[in-house]
Amino acid sequence: MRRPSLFRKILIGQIVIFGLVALGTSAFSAWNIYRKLMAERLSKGKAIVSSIVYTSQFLLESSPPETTQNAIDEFLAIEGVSYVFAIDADRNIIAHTFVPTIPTEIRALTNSETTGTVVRELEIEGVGQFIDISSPILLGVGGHAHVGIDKSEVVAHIREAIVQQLALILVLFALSAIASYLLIRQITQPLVQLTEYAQQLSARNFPSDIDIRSTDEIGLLAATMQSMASEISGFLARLERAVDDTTRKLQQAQSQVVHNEKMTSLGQMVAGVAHEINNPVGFIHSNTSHVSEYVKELLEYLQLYRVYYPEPHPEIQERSEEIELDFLQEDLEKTLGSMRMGTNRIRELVSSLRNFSRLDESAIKAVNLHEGIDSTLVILRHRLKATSDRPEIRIVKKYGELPLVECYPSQLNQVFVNLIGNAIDALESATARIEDGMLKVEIYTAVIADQAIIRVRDNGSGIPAEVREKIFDPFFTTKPIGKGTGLGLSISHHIVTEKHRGRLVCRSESGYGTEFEIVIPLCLTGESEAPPTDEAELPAAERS
Amino acid sequence: MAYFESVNRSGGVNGKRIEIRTYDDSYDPAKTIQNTIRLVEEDALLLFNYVGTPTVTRMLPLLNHYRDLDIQLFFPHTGAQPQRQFPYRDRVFNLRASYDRETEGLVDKFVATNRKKIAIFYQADAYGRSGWNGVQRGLEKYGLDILEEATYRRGADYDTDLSEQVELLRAVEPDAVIVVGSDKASAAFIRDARDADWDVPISIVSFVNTPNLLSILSQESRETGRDYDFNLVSSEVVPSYKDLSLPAVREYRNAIDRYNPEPPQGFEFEGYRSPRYSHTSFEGFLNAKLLVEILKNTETKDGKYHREALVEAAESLKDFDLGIGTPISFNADDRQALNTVYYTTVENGRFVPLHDWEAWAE
Repeated sequence: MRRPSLFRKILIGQIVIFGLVALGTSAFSAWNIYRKLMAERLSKGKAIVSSIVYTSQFLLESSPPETTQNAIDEFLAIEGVSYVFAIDADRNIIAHTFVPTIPTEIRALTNSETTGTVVRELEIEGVGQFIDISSPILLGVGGHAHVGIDKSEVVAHIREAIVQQLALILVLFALSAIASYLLIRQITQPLVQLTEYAQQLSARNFPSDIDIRSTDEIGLLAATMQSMASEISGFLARLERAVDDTTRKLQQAQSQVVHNEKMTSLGQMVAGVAHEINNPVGFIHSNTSHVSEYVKELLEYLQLYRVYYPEPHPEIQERSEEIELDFLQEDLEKTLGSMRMGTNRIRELVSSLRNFSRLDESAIKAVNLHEGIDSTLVILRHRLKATSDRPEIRIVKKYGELPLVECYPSQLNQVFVNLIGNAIDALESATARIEDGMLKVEIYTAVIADQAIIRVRDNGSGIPAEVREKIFDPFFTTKPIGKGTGLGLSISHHIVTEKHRGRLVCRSESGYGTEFEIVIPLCLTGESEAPPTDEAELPAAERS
Repeated sequence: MAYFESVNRSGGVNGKRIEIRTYDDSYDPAKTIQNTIRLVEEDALLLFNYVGTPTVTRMLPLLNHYRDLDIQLFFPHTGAQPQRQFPYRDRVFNLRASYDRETEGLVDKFVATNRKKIAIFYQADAYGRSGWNGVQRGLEKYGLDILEEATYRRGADYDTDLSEQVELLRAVEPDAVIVVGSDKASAAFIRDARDADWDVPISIVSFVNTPNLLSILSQESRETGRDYDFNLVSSEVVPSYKDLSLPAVREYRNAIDRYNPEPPQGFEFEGYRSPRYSHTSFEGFLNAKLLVEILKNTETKDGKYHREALVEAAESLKDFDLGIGTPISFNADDRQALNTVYYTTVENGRFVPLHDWEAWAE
């Protein structure tokens, strides 16, 4: 905890300050009290001595010692006076106040010769330190009077005063400690709150509010921290979004690269194969008309033979019957027609493949989108046929009037393949749920306000909402492992939104099918200053 | 008290009852002065039987202050010197001998028995100083000095530890110790000396109530199993109350037995029973008897006593037989009646007159 630590520091500071104050004032007081008390005691002692001396002048000679004793007993009662004694001219102590007996130091004192008032320091063993003040009576003829002032009593006074002073300082210290504790608590309470707040911030937890009501610097700090936190919070959110965005773009770019590479190889292969097939099919196709003509002339020639030689050699007769000549004549024409149709279809397919791969069309080009869609359908035709599991899938074309659209044709063709392919996948996995038993993919095109709209709709089982949120995420797939890459829609989304500045929207209702809508501007080059094609972003696509 | 009681019962003095007012001063000089002022203001005829040296010596200046009232102190129960000297000698009549006479007498007796090393233990005030002065003077006559002195504070009771003083005096090996103290302090000193196995002769003075002292010591003896009542001498200022050959002793005992006086009201102490007879009470009896005699001789004016007449009657007393074998006289120059000191010692647990000092010889 921070509070006790701060309190401890201040407490130590206070102890030091109060200690110094206590030490200083005690020393000063002790010195002062000692000085004043000693001066006071000294003057008191002198006064007593002179008083005794004065009265003794009348008493000593004529009075009995009881009177002298009474007089010194009176003086003993004065505070600070420890002993009083009187000695006569023969240096005998004639009255004193010592209990239990006269100390030897005092006895020694009586023998010293003095004239006038004398102040002496005197230590009496086992009793203490005294200040002895003596004065002669009648210039020493009448003896001497002595008064002893107890020094240790002065020291005791000082000690008492110091103890009282220290007690007072201690009380003040306690009060001050309590006051500072309260003050520190008042200061640290918001600090602790602030700290907790800061800790929450460190944990990237952004509490909306902290309850610090103080109006001082701490309150200001709290407010500042709060606004800073909200800024950081906003910044972090933006940063996260940016990172998410970048990550997604990166993933898309990566998948695009992979896909493009794949598609490019595939396209090259397809183009090569189509090219190789195209030539032989071309001359097969062109020769079939010659073959047809030759066969027709040969048959006319045979007819002439049969007219002018009705009775042929039996062997010829036998042979013509054996080969069913009549049927052969009839069927030959049909066979040739069918061959011509076959080569036609091969040529059509090869043309579609070439059209689809569009190796020569990776740049922006104004194209008829219907051609692309049709090419796509040709390629996917084999998947439409009825299987043992489901009936045939019907394609319903609802083409509107569509002008040439500026776009990247091969890329859009990929999108068509993806969308129509997905529609077919959806229908294949949802057969049981089709109410009227008819599987269909509806393709709708239109132009609305300089924008081309292409919708691909299936009547499959639809996409649940929780899946729909993620369908454009890269590598997201509901298909079994090995069947889907999870890249198709992600790439399509990228192509539509980024390359063509359009929109790819998915509408779906569970149980009623799914509709994908592509909206792209008719004119791609004129609307944007910078062409969306980015060398850095799609190098593979550009290279090919 | 007993004597006044008997006088009052037999008709008083000249047909007048004697009224006694008693105030306690607790042996405190300040209270003594207070009580004296009170008595003067209550218009007492005379002051009588004050007890104690520090108390009496301190109130003496009051008597000079009331010089115009001519109030007299009769027979204070103290042997101190001031009331026997100028400037107070005209205010006080003394019956008993003085302390210095007592202690001087003790010194004479000790020196006579070849006990020349005399130490003194005394109360650190005027009373002690008075006794000390007597010892000093007594020894001076023989060219001797006090061997060692020790003191105690006034007010010390029997529980006070006096072993330090005992050790101080014992260290110089005196032949005798003269104690000038109160009952309790004297008893405590004797106890501590004997407890320290010190059997030096110890003398006490008349201020001590000897039966009281003995009762304290025998109580101690019962508790510790030691003997405390040997080698003790007491100096007295009145003859022994046991000497039945004296008419005054008989009269004293008669009065005590008859009236069995209790202490004045307010003076009872729990657990304290004053001894039936004692030198102290005998002295009080003699004081009272002498006062009554003076009162009898005092002329009254208009049936009233006046202080001038009282002083006149007292100072003209001549060869009055108090019943102790010594005639009593006062005159204007001599207000000291007795100078005789009597000595007693303990035998069989009682203080008896000491006649054979030779037995104490070293």
